Amino acid sequence: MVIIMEYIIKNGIVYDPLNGINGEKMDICVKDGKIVEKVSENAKVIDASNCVVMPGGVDSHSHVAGAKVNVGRMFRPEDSKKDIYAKKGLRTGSGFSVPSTYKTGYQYSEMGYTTVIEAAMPPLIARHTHEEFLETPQIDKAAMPLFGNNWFVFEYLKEGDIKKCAAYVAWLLRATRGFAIKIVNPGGTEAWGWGKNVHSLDDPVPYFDITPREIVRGLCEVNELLGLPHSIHVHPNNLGHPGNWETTLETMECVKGIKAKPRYGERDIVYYNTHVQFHSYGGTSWKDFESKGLEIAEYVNKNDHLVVDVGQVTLDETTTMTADGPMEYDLHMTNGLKWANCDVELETGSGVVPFIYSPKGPVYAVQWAIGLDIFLNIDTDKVLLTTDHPNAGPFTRYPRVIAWLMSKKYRDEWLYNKVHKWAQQRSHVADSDKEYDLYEIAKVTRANQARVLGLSKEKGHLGVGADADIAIYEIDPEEKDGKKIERAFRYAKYVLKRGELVVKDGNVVKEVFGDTIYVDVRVDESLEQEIMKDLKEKFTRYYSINLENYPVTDEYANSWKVIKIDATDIS
Amino acid sequence: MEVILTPKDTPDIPIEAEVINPDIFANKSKEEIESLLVWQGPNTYPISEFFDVEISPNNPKDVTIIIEGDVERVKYIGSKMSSGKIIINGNVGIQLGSEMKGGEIVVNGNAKHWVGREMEGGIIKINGNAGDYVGSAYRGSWHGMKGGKIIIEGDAGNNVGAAITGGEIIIKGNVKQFCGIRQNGGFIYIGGNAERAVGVEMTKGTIVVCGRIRFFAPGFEFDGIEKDLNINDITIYGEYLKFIGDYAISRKPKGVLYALKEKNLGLIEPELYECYDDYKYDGGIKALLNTGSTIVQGEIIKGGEKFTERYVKECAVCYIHPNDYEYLGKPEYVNVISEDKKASITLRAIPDSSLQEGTVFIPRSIWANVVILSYTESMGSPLYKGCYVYVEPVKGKADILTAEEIMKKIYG
Repeated sequence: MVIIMEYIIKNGIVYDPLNGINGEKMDICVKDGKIVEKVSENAKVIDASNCVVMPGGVDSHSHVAGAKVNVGRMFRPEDSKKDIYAKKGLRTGSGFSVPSTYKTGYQYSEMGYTTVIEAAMPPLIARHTHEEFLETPQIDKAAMPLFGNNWFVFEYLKEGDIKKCAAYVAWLLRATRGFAIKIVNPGGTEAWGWGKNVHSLDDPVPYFDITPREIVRGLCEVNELLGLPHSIHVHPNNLGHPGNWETTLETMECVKGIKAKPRYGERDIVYYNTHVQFHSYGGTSWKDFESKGLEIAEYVNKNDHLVVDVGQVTLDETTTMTADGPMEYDLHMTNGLKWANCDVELETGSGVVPFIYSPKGPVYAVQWAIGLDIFLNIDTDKVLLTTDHPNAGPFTRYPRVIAWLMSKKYRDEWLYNKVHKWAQQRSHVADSDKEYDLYEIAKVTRANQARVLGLSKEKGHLGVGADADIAIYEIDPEEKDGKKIERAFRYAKYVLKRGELVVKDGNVVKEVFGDTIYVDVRVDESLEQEIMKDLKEKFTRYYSINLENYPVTDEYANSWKVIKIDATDIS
Repeated sequence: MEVILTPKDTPDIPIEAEVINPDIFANKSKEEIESLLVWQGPNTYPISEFFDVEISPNNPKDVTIIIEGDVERVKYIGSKMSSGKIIINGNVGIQLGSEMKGGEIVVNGNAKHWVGREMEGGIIKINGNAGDYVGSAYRGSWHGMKGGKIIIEGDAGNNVGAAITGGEIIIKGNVKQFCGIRQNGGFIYIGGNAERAVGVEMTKGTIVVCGRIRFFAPGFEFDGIEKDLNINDITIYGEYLKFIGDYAISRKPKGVLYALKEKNLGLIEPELYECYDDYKYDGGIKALLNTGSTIVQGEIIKGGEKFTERYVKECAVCYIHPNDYEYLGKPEYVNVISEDKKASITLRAIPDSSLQEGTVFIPRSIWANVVILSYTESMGSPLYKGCYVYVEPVKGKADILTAEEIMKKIYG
């Protein structure tokens, strides 16, 4: 028997930027997991008086599953002890900055988030990521495999064979059930395998003699040739180093001129710069360190080929983790805390280090301010709210970031009373009167994400036909009390996931398991056969596992959502 | 108010009784105290399931809890307490006074591990021995005890005062390995001996060792001799070697380690170094065992050749410092006996000058496993490095057991 579930959400004030709806009181109808025109009289009524209604939140960059997240969990028992999640009827969990999988799902859900993209999946260890997805409830998820330090990519691009590279990317996305092309410190992590790093866009990678510029531009061309839903997703070189803002601008500039040609979705940009806060550093050392957030924001405002997510520092004790191996080593040498390092054969590497962003630390205060500088000066169609969870802070702090953005009063309370004075002196946060309204909050937490991920047909909006992923928050649109804003967004009044009521009054009331989304691109068969020859050779010679055992198989998801793309015109 | 808790009998599954805390007992009636809940496994039960409660209710704000009997299987007594007093006339379980903020705990008996973990204030006095992790940080954390005072009349185990940043720990007897590891403040006094790597990775704070230091950490620099120390208003008489460290972890460390001169001259004059008094005995040595994988062993394992003679030749061996080897009479084979003397294994002896005197090395393999005890420091893995073994020579030829034979003979 199929139970037909109908809901009507009444009297809420709706914010739905993708459909241009800015604070209108209207009813939303839900049937069979989708948003519909109207429902029958049997529909259950959700009273959203005094509430705002938004599409379910979409997180485009968060480290929630996989090998390095698990290393973080394992080597930080003290973080696990700090935050225990035990609610009746739900699985228990623990971890403040690196929560266990169930806690991750539940807490995203409590905040009204319904889709989360894992930001870095080492292809060889894709299974581990999917195994954790299997145990992550409440949300749809997808993972982005790492391509920026991959030997195949290096060799094909060096040979100038963009089509073979595209065929390889297509194969790897399918084999790992991956979603998009992630690039982390292009060339740098491979160089780290040689005890080195790359420091500029034209610094050659040892042995391969390819430059970060060639990698980024090459993969961007591949991305558009294949017509993937999402653009390349880039963590540029020199993360976290004073003076890196120039490298950041150069990397943004290097893909200019490439046209967005998605074969799925409505993306119009070709470049996604993740956690741009970490890449907007001025100065030459930590002594003369300063914000270049304004310069970065200005570049983004003037150009149409890119978006950025911020990676806002939340001033907590957290755990940093990235495929940027050499950066984590630098971090460990700076703070002296424990360090885990990993090399992933032909593909990538990673590192994990705990980090304490103390509000009283001058450098951390400036990092905090840089994120805000970007938020407050950028075109809100081109910016996305993240904390690069857990690198700049755990995702459970998104509501606090929202509060900083919506209330100057609250922001100033932190700026003048809680954080080190360098934040005032070395950034422009004090000068800005900008306050986000709820329409803009809806943009930077769901609508923009859905659009750039190429998922805006089904996610990130409340139009007829969209997935019924809906968040309802009890907040007055004019609210300026930071604590109230934070509370409202931390614990949603109601959340619907695929048309089912999963959160009520901030508590998870129903456990559901979402889809795992991946992209299946078909290229011309003879082209695919050519790259299979190369794959076989490399697997025999270098890989520690057999090619046949490499692909992730069907049982690794509760349910797959496949985005099929026909790119057989590439031959 | 005085509350007397008399244990009914020893619980089969340990209980977690953080409710035994003067702050929680204050202003409560007998019935209210009896109905406080303790955890046993996944269930909760009223405290009266496990204790008889007697109460003399005068002065209800000033609470003294007296436990009459052994509570070795009761955890977290006095955890997070901030006032009042607990007296335990018997042995007590783990996590006594962990995260304690004030008040006083006295144990007339022995305490298990984690006494005063991450405590911030108050006094804990153990009139007996204590286990591992006295005053230390929680697993993975780098913030141990911040304040307060712990006094142990007897001996204590491994990792005493790990990562403490303040407070005072007085151990009148001996401590085992890694005392004061990652210390970053505070003061540790050891009346007896300190085994292996005392003060390793310390960056701040003070340690005084009045007995002998065995297996000293390499990152300390000698900084002269001081007489009659005065630390935290305590005068400690005698002549002390002063060391600064640990340079292995920090370029400008401020950790100070004093070692009583008369017992530790070997630390500054290597030719005077004697590993320790009781390690040589008639017919053998008591040595610190380290195990680890060798490169050749790795190659053999990866080749899937674990049941070959080559593997036996590589792994069924015991590396011994040349001086110890000579003391044993240069034997071709040795018997290595576990610390509890319940298990032993015969191995080929190899002199190796890269070892420290008093230590032996066996490749991490089935042969080493025979003599490694099940003690894990509750870490889930036995101490493959740093447990003690007795090494005795075998006269003449001996048979080395193969892996299969070990499985059959020793594990049945």
